[in-house]
Amino acid sequence: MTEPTERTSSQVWALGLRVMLVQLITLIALWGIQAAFAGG
Amino acid sequence: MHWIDWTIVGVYLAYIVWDGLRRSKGTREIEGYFLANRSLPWWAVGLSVMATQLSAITLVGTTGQGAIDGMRFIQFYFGLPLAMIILAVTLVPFFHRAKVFTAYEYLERRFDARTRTLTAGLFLLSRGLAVGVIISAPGVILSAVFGISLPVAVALIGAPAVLYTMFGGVQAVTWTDVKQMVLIVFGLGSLLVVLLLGLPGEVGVGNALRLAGATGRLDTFDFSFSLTETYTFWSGVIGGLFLMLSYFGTDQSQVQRYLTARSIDQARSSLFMSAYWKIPLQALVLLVGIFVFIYFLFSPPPLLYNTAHDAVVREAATAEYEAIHARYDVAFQQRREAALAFAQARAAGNGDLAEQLAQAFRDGNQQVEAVRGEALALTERTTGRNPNDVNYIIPAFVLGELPIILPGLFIAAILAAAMSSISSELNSLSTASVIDFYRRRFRKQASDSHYLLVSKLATGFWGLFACFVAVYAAALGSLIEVVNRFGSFFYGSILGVFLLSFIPMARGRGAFYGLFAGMGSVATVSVLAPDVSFLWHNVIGAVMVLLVGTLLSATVRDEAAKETVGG
Repeated sequence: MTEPTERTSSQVWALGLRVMLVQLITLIALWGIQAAFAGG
Repeated sequence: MHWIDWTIVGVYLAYIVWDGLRRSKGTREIEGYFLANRSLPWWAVGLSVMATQLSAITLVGTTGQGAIDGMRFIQFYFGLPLAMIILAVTLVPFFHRAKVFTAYEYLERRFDARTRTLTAGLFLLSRGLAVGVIISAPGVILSAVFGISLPVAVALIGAPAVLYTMFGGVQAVTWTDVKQMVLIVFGLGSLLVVLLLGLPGEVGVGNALRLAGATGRLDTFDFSFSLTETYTFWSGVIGGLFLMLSYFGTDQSQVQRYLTARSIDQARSSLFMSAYWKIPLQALVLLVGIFVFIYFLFSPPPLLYNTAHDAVVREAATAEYEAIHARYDVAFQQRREAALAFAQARAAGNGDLAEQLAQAFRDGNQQVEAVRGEALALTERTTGRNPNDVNYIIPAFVLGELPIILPGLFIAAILAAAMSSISSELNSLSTASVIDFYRRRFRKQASDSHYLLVSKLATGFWGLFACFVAVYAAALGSLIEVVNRFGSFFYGSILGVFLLSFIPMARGRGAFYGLFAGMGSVATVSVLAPDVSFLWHNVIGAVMVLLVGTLLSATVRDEAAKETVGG
């Protein structure tokens, strides 16, 4: 079995971009919860 | 706690020790003992990275913070995902290709031996003390909750971790971390489910969140820019980015986790796991705390969550204690009635009334908090100790309110969180001691079996040292704060040295003296502007090392450039 080719730097950045996108969605969800339930 | 719960805790401890010890069979040389022959899969490494960071005090203290203060603490981690991406592109591939055992080993290749010795020495000093604090904090809680002596509580937490780390090495650390992380998440998830199922019928999840929102506990974001506030969006994104870069990129306790991965991409994936899951996990931790707050809106909460303090104050200042308690009961009833009336008005679709009742609930909540403030002040006067009982809220809930099995499960999860941090720290302390000092300075040529023996002894030594510090750290309460502040003096500066290594013109002299300039500037700021949050110390230290290091390097002509990042 051969080792898969190592990801290039741009591929890693692309994966990083996906991470940031998911985090952005998480933060928007937290923001939504804050806005929806603020003040009771 | 019921005997069934104690059995769960006992069986769990026995299993973890057995599981860790059986890993020692394949460990014959130090590459295996410290780095698992660089053979571990990304998911195991990723879980170990997360388990190392999540200590017992996170599990107990952060949930308590969620109950008292709500979601805002989560901003602390906003810099983490970006830090992981930067590390995945930069330091991770370099450390792997350089085939180093420690992060500091690389600094000798890039700069010089004294920079390596200084950074490794700072790591040993701060982490050695920090492990003591990691054991001490849950030790104090368990000793107060169960009425056992502190040395016994410390032994309960420390001994199993020292034992399996000493004999099993990094294989034991990682594979027990995997199981401990699963137990922690399972424990937290079970707690949340129980809390949701236990909500009064007329309240429901939506109204529970509205009640939490009415007290500001769902306020996650604070966009104000302040150097003195730790929990703001900008402190988290900027200060937190530097802290996480430093912790995950230069602290041996974390670097060693991903050095065990079987390839560069597997190491990267292990860090991406934290990048994806740390904020949601932290949200879960805080949300458990918020729902414990909701639970105690409808069930009478203890006046003092620390049962040891409660017993002392009740005995020493009976009349005053009972007077406060009577007013606390009244305030609780008023808040409870307002909360229930609010939920009923919402259910009836009466928005105006619900708004009025939300205000009545807020007033009731303030009253409860005011009376509790009086009780805490009485505690301070009576015991002469810090009355803050935020770390006791979750233990009080788990042990006082939950049916059998769940308390045992949660205490096992607390022990898991403690042991998974302790084991990684001990393993990395042993690695830095042996690789950066013993093998580098004292015994350069010896057999692998010799180094393996010394490594095990070093692990045992650091374990004993940590337990010793744990017992005395608790007696000198302020020492915990000193240790935490001590770390923040040079954390950013060490990151600065690693960042400096990316600059081709940087030289050893610049790195060495730049490190002192960074630490000196942080010490100066902490004396002249003590209100500046420690998160900004990391930024200040790193930037100062880069500036001074680059300038000093420019004055060096005779020193050839050494290995550079990516070279």
